[in-house]
Amino acid sequence: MHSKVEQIVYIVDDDADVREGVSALLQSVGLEVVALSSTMEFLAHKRSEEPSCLILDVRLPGLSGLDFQTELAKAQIDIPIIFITGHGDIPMTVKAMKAGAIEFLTKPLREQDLLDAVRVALERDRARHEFQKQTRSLRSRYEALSDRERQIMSLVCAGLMNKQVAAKIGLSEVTVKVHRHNLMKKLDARSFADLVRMADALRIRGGNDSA
Amino acid sequence: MRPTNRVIQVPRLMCNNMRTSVDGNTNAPHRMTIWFDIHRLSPAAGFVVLLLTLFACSVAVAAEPKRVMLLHSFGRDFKPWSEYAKSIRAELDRQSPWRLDITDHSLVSARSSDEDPERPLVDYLHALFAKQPLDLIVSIGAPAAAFVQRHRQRLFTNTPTVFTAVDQRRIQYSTLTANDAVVALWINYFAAIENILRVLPDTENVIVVVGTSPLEKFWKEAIAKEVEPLSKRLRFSWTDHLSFDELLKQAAALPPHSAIFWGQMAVDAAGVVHEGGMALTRLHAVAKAPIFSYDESFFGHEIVGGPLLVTADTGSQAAAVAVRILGGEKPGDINTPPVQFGRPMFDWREMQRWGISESRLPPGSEILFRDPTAWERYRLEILAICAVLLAQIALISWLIYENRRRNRAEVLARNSISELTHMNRVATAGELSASIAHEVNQPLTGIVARVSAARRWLAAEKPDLDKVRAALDQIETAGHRASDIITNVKSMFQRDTQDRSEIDINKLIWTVMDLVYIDLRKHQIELKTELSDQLPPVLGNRIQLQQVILNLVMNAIDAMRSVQPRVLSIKTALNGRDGVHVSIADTGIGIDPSNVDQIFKPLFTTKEHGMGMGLSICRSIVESHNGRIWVSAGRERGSIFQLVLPTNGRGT
Repeated sequence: MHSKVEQIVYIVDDDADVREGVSALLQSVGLEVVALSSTMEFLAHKRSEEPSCLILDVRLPGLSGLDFQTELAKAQIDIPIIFITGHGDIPMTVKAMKAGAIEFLTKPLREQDLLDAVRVALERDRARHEFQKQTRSLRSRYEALSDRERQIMSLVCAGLMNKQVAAKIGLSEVTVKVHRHNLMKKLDARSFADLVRMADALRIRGGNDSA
Repeated sequence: MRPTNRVIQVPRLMCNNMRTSVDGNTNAPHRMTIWFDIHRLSPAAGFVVLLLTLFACSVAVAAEPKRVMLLHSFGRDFKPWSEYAKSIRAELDRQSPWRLDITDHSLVSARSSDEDPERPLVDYLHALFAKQPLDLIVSIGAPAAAFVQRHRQRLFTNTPTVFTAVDQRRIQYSTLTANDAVVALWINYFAAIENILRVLPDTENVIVVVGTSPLEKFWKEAIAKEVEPLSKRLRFSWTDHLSFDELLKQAAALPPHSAIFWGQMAVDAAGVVHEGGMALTRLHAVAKAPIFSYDESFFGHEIVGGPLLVTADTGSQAAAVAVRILGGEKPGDINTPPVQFGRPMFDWREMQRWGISESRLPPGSEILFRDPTAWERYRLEILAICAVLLAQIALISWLIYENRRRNRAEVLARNSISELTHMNRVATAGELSASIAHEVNQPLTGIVARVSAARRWLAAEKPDLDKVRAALDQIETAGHRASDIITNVKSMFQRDTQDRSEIDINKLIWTVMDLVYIDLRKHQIELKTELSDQLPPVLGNRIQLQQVILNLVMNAIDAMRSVQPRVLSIKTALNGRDGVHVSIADTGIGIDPSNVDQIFKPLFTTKEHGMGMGLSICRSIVESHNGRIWVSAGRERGSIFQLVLPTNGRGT
């Protein structure tokens, strides 16, 4: 694992032996582990922005692991889950996997299975984080554009030529070209295609967006 | 003054009539009947009676009754004439519009051939009727007819006479006067004898009963002549030369295929007069052959039957002629054809006695005196019994049905209970094992994970021995924890097994047999028990030992599913001084010798749905009782499970 990338593995199991044993194993490969004894503790824990995953015991006091998975989805808390259980059956496994679980492992855990599952989970979460981060920076750059530049961006991305844009908003074609150059620079768009992709990511629709 | 007070005998009906008329409510003619039998009264009494009669008659004269005399041939009680007389009397009463004064007189002369006895009677009658002439004489029978014809000139010169109850052959038609009318009979003896052959075709001998009086002698000749054509088939014999006692003896000794024809028995060869119906009754009592006759008056007890002269036919015809004469018609102008046989009549009782089937009877025959059938006689009783029987049948059927249903339900319930029990056991076992697995898997998971961690720490460039040591400590703790869990589970199961009490093994076996009797019955397994009554009690856990016996018995039943015969033998015996030996033998499929060593091991099973726990549990229970259990092959087939339990609970 890349220790420079900060990432956290949460483990929720009411049994101390399991909790601590699995923690020790994950720590031995250099992962940061937060061991919790209940789902309540997990919800109460202030989670950082780093990629993370959750190792969740199926049989828990109160809400079962599977029910907790549903609860998390409802609360739009997006975290990859690896289930562990003393005795799993097929319906249980299917339900968990359909609900988006990374893996369903039975105790006692095989070292490699667990580590592989954790790696996959963290990778997926990291990719999700990356995507979210890029979207966030693009949006802040877009916020920095002037009103005129946003207007011209939406029209250009809708497929209008500079001449048509100029006619539509009552500017000279040269002025439009200057605005277009500036806004591409501000957005760090290297080509027109890049610009259109950004407009898509920002969900800007040309034509309608006339300020 | 009422005339009835002076009359010797007045039928009740008359009294009523008179009372009615005295009250003046009706104009119906008064009828009065007065009779007496002068032969039966002593002269003094006869005189008194005569006086009274005359007095009564003088009273009756006021209403001008018609005076009628019935003249009997032999006496008032000689059949068949007595019956004719009764019938004529009744018909006269019925048909006559006038009051009638009827007197009865009998000849005695007819009983012998001597004519002298007639003279006093002629004188007597002459004296009797000289001043008060008769309106009509009705002569009954041939002797009476002959008497009237003989003495007509002296006695009844102008009195109209009806000759009746006499066969046409006995009437002297040539000497009939204008005052004579005849209502004759025609006795068809040929037809009567032929009837015997018809209903009893095997008949060979016919004994014709006739007496020795002149009339009877006449008839012997007449009958013999008439039935002559039948003498080829029948042998006739006659009784006129026999006294009645001799006749009875003969009748009692008749050979088979004989029949008796009752002609007449007024006077027998010994000179004894036979009045009334006694003679026929006595004959019937001893006769070894069926009796036939020609006249209805003999019918009703003794004779079989056939075509018979019907008394009422003659009675009504004679009375009708008498009424016509009394009404003024000239007797000589009245011609009536002779009365012939009526519809054949048969006595059902005699038919039964002589084995005469109904199909042999002439068409149109009437069967009388038929015994009411059992159905007719006991209809209510039969119906009641049937009803009770039906009710009982219904009740029994219902009970059987209920019983069947109950048995079936019981079997079903037993089955479902045992199924449930099995499922419950399996479910419990599954649940239990899952729970145990989960509990044990927790520390195991910790151990395995820490081992992996420790290996990695050791493999690092700078092995982190502190962490490895900590991991090993935790592994040790987790290992102990796993062991504790298993110990806990074990002790949980042993909680119920610590109670020990003194147990009667035989009683315990019977308790188990109660549990499995349905299975034994279902699989048609014969149970043989040889339980020693010398057994000392065993110190042990009742539930556990029951479980052992139940398990072994159920195994035995399972083993016998596909074989015949199915015999389960259970024996108990004393083993040494302080042990009980139990053997449970079946005739089932037996145990593969290669499996004998493994059969008591846990998780070993040869059954499709077995868990491989039964025998291992049995062994652990028996061993916890310091006993031994083993298995051997049966003598011929099957297997024998044997166990020995010490009675002091400390081992042998």
